[in-house]
Amino acid sequence: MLLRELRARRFRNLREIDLRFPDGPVLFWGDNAQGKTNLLEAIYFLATGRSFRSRNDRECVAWDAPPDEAASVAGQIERADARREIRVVLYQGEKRLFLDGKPLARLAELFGELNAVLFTPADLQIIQGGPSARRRFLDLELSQISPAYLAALQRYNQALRHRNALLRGGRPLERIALDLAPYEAIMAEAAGEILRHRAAALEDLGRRAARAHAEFGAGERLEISYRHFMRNDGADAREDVVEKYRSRLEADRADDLRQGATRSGPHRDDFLLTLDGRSAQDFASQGQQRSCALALRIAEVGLMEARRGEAPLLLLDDVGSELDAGRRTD
Amino acid sequence: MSKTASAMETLILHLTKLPSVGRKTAERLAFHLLRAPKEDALALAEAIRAMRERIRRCSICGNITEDDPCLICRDERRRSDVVCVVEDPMDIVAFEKSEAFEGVYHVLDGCLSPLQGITASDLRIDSLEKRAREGSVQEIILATNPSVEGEATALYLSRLLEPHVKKITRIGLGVPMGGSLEYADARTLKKALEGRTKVE
Ligand SMILES: [Zn+2]
Repeated sequence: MLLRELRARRFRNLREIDLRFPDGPVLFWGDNAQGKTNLLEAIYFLATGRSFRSRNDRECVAWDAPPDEAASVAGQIERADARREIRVVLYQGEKRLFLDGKPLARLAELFGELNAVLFTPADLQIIQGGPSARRRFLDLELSQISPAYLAALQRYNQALRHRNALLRGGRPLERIALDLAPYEAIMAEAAGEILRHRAAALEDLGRRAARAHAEFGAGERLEISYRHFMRNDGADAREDVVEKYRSRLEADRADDLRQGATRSGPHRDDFLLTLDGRSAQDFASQGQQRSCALALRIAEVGLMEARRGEAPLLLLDDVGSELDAGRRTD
Repeated sequence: MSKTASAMETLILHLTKLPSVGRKTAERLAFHLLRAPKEDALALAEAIRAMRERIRRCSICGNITEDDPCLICRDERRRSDVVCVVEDPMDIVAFEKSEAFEGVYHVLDGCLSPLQGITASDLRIDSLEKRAREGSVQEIILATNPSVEGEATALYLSRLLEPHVKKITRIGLGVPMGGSLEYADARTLKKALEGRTKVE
């Protein structure tokens, strides 16, 4: 997969850029704060419809842009099967996506058009950060390769928001039992699908990451294990958990009502990276953690290529520190 | 101060309130109405007024109608024992265009949404339950949209109505997932009706 052209207007500090890319790797160098990371952010925006740095799209609009002027990023993509033009427009707090000039109704329609994997020093957070950083990694990877996964994830999250709204509505359990049941049924069905995809992806990523890690020359064996939401119920990640999870939600109603939130489900999932059986998060040095993060990203590239039949676009931010991680084993 | 005359500006402002009409389109429409024959422009105004004065809701099914009950509920050739439950009167228009359905309807006026604070009492669910309780309904077809909210509403209704109605089905096949019934074409809706399944 290749990016042939990139145009950006008022995207962060990229006031007006028009770039054409040759075959082969492209390197940008320059001082800090010139916009190298912004450039990668703009490209990543085309792949996922959002920023990898901020939750709020508004932050991506140049701070001095007049309010009636849009910020935009457009890219010409060359894939084995097609050429595509993707355009993202940020205008007055709204985001509009266009594929070959036609507006896309939903963000989901963008996923898979351009596959990109980003390597950044912030990847260390996947190892050091909380479970949400690892879920985010997994969701972005799987959303890019499986529309079914993204659909299930969106259904799950929407039904979860409704269930939580009922739990926080201030009504007693006996008054909301009939209302809760439909959302629990939808959540359970979607959760089964999410679990299946995550389990398969982590198994594959685990194998690939271990291989990459070994190639760095590091002595320890890297392993990834899925800490899924049904493991306390004795369920295996490969079995059909729909009915079990639906029962769990029903059994948790009283407790969840007290907490005002749904406590068990894919939204609490995590995965654990270990080096020779010891948690990389708790016991590895920063250098070892960097190696783990890099191995995970390399595994992501491999999985994406295997599933899509084409290598994704690689975006490497701050190459020096990243490539260092491959050699350092202290 | 606006550059357009005030009566013109008032019309433009009203037009911009319509769905998918922006300022530019509203201006174009307003100037079109200014240049068109006066009778045509006034006929449009009269049509809007007459529509608002004459159209009401059917007391049985909630469809929009000039006469109560509506033409569909009064039609003796239709099967009044098969009730198709829809979110919106617009969905009835879509089903009728497909000519695939011989039963009657029930309009919910939306779907359940705890996030937006929409509960069963905000929808026409009581009147649906009453229709089901009366005992003459043999089948209820749940034709809410395939969104999370539409699905949840269908599941809720199937549990609620189960004790009163023998057969409860859900349209499924053919309806675009995440789409709105309003935009489904006639053939899709016909297939969706044929492929309805029992709600578990
Ligand atoms: Zn009627």
